[in-house]
Amino acid sequence: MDVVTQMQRQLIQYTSSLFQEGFLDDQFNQLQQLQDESNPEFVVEVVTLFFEDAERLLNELSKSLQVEQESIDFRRVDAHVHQLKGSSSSIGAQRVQRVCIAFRNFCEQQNVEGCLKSLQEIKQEYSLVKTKLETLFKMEKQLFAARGSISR
Amino acid sequence: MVCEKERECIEDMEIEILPSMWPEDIGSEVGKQFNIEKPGREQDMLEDVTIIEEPTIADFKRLMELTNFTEKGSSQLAYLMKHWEYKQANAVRLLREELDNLSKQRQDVELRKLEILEEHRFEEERYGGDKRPVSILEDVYDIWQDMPRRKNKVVLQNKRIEIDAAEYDTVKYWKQRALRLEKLLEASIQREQILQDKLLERINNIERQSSPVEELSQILKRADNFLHFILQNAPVVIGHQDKELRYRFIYNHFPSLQEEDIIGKTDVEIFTGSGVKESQEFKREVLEKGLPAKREITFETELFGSKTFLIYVEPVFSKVGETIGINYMGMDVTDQVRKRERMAKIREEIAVQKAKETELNKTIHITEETMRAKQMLATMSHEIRSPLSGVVSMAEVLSTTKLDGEQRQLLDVMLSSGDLVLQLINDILDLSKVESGVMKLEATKFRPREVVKHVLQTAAASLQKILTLEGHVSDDVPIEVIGDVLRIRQILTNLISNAIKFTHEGKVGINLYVVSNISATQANEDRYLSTPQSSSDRNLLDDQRHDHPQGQNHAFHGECGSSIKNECSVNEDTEEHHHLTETTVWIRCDVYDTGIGIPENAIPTLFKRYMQVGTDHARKYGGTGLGLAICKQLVELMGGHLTVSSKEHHGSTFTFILPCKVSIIEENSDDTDELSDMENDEGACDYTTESFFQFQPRTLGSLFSSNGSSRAHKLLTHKIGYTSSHTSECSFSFPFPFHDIISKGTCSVQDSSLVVDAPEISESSASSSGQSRETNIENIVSSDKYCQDKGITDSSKHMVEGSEMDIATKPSELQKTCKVQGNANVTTQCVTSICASELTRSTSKPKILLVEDSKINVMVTQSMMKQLGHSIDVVNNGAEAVRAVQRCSYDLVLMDVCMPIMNGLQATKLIRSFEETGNWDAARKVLMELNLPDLDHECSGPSKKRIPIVAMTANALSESAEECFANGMDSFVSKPVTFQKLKECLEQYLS
Repeated sequence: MDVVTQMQRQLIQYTSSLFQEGFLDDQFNQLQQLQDESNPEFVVEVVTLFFEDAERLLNELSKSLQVEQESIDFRRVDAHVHQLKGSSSSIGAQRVQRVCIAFRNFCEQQNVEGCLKSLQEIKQEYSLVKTKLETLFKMEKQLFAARGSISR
Repeated sequence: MVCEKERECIEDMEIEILPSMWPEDIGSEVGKQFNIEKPGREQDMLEDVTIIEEPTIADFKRLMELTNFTEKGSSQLAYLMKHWEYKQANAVRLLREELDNLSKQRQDVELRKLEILEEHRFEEERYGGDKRPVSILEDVYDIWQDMPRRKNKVVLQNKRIEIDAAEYDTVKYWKQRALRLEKLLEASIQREQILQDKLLERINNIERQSSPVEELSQILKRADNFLHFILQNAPVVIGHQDKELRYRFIYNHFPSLQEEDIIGKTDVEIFTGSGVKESQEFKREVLEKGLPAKREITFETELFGSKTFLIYVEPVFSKVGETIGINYMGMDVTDQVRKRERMAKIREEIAVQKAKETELNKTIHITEETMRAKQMLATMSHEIRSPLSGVVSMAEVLSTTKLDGEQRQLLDVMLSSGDLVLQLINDILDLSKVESGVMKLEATKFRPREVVKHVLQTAAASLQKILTLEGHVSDDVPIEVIGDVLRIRQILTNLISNAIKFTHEGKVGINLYVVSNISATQANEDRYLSTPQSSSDRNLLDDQRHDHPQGQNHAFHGECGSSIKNECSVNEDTEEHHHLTETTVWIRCDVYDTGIGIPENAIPTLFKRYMQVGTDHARKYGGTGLGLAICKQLVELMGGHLTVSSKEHHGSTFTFILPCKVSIIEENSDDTDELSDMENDEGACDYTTESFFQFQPRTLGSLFSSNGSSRAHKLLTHKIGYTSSHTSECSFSFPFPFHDIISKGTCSVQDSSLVVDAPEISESSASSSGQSRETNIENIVSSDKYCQDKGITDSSKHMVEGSEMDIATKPSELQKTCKVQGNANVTTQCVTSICASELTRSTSKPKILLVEDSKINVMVTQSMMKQLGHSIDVVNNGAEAVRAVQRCSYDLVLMDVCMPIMNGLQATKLIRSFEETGNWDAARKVLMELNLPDLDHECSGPSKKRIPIVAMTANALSESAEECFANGMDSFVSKPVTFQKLKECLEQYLS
């Protein structure tokens, strides 16, 4: 029982740290509220979808912003960033969303340097939030395994 | 005067005579033998050419030695000596001659003097001396005889003198005479003096001219210059090396080393690199053998890089005959060698090319032969087919006559064998046509739904097993595409009959949908396949095993097309299959079965000709083994490909993907639709949007009952057409599935628009019997209860029709049930909400449509809505939204703004335009511009109220609130959506 309590505490701590550090915002809470017995894997599913979506978009963005290209289709880039912004805001990946906003500004200015910089930032933020979320899910799983259900 | 004249004469004679005796230019003529030009001129010429003496590096001492030693040198020297001596002798002779001449003259002169003196004495003695007997003639004669004897002249003179002497011998005369004589003497002396001078001059001349050493050295110099000239311009290296192969002399046009670096050294000492040693060895060889030789040596040295020299080496012998060195001449032939090598390479390449060409020609020849053979096969097959089909059809006709049991049995065997042979020949014909390139594809407009339906119908018609045949056509498949419909039908028929052949229970079906790209299809395959299969399992009645051998007992099953019109496209599964804006779409077709499957090891050979999974299969199932090969060939001919996936004992799925051009859809006006449909036997309108077909197996009883006379039925069906007796066979039964009739009722209340197509059979019967056309009217359906009523009336009407024509087995009641059931079945297809259970909920629930392209957002919003107690329909872009709104009436639309294909703003605009005008013309136009499938035919229902459309924006610049409002949206929710926001929104618009 002790172990479970400890794990639970750890999980709560970890989650709150994620919120404090700004990786996640309230939208993530909303997601968690959507999860219930009939849909126990909802958060994981949505977040996995987000991962897939984001990776696809990041690939597209890297491709679009390749230096060798003669002209960068900023509208296309903007559309991709927009999508990424939408999906990141939907799961509450706040920091990714913020960089997206900056990215879109660069896009509007047609600032290649800025775009590239933003792309790097997004990639970094994305991988950060991904590891964080994965750790979170792992912890939840462990707790679930240890206790049977998570107290929310 | 006379004397002077005489003297002149003499002089002339002398001068003239001399040349004839000794040609003056004898020396120069001799010189010409050497082909050396006059030294003076030669020198001038050479002066023009600047002779650079530097390159000549010669050891002159050695040269002298050489000259002394070598035979050549000595012979040359001897020759020169001889020449000199000869000239010398010549000159001496000339001098001597001159001397002789002079002394003669002198003698003459003295003689005459004496004569004169004697004469004088004579005259003194004899006075008018009679010594005149000397005849003039004689003298003259003499003159002629002894030229150039002066004596004669003297005689002549004497005569004159004698004539003069005629004047007596006065003192005066004598004095005169003496004076004259004295004068003569003087003149003579003078002449002598002159001659002497001349002689002297001559001698001087000779001395000056013929100093042979000078001349020879000049010649030598000229030769030397000439040699220099040649050397300078010749691209050669000339050298002499002694016994130890040390350079004694070298001439190099392109000197790269100083004299002291070369003279006295050997090749090896001078430079290093490949080829140096070889040349050294070569020279030594020549030295030893004493025979001149030529060789090409490639040098690779630091000094002058990579160069090839042609080297000629000849030994040099001393007078005694022993070799004392070699003369060596080298010529840079690098360029030539390079060219030669290139030539060789080119020649080689040409040879290779020629070889290839011949090979190619051979291959072409073989290919041509093969082609010809295949064409011949095609022709032959054709020739065989015609008489055979005669035999088979005659046998078929025979089977309709009265026959006893045994005869019928024989005839059946005959017919089935005939069919088999005919099939085989047809297959061979097709295959060889494809392979020989004779087969031409036609490009015609056709409707994929129609094709699928017909293929299934045909298959169902000859089905002799308890199998469910079904077809799904995805919404995104264009209504009309361009392709070779006959071939596509052939492929489908082939695959379906194959599937039926190897399936004993369960079902066989076709899935047709559009793939955006070929690779994307794999992911969806499983999902797509699993759905219909699972449902069909439930549909399956029970295990009824009827393995009738192929070709026998053609049971004719009743057919009935039950179809849905306006199936809502709100389907999660299809969201990825967006219709591309290109004119070519890739249509994917899965033909699946729940049959015996194919063992993994047999898959590779599956598409090979005459190959069947196993010999026992061939025995059990018959067939030619050509079917799949033909399918594959045809598919590939059309630019697609055919694949198979299979699990043994579970079933197989044959999948082919074909590129099809999308035809431009004609916009039919609403009013004419019904009429044209009425007139059209095919009932074209039905096919445009039907997306699900199902043909259920008959009950056991009817199967067995049709056993005996099946052949005749089939024949009649195909050859004669539908008659009323056949329509009786058209009974079919839908299994009783999980939906009950209540669900149907629910459906009717809902606005889901659906059409129950008049059964196929009624159409055909109508066409053949020319009655009861009304059954077709029900093609068009409105979007509310009207629709439902109509559906019911439709089916009941059909029942009436059916019972009218029904002569046989089925009670109409059963048919009715079946029909209704069919409707119910259809309804589930139509309503595409996330969970089917939603249908049964209270009808007061508002209908909400979510238009969103991001899966994540869909998922989140959906879940939120669910928690809020709403189920929603989801579409993925504006175009789909327009279509969805056209089909169902929604109470609220949540519209994302940024979406592919058509954004939310435009969709909203189109929907608003409909609400204002009551027609979808604007939407149609836009869809057509986007090259999207046309909208369904309009439902002429009452005009609707304004649907609230709420934008879901991410607060981006491109989707400003003003723009949303300007395009007719009522409000907007900023993303990400939250419970709170959604709740507010729903409260506002759904209360």
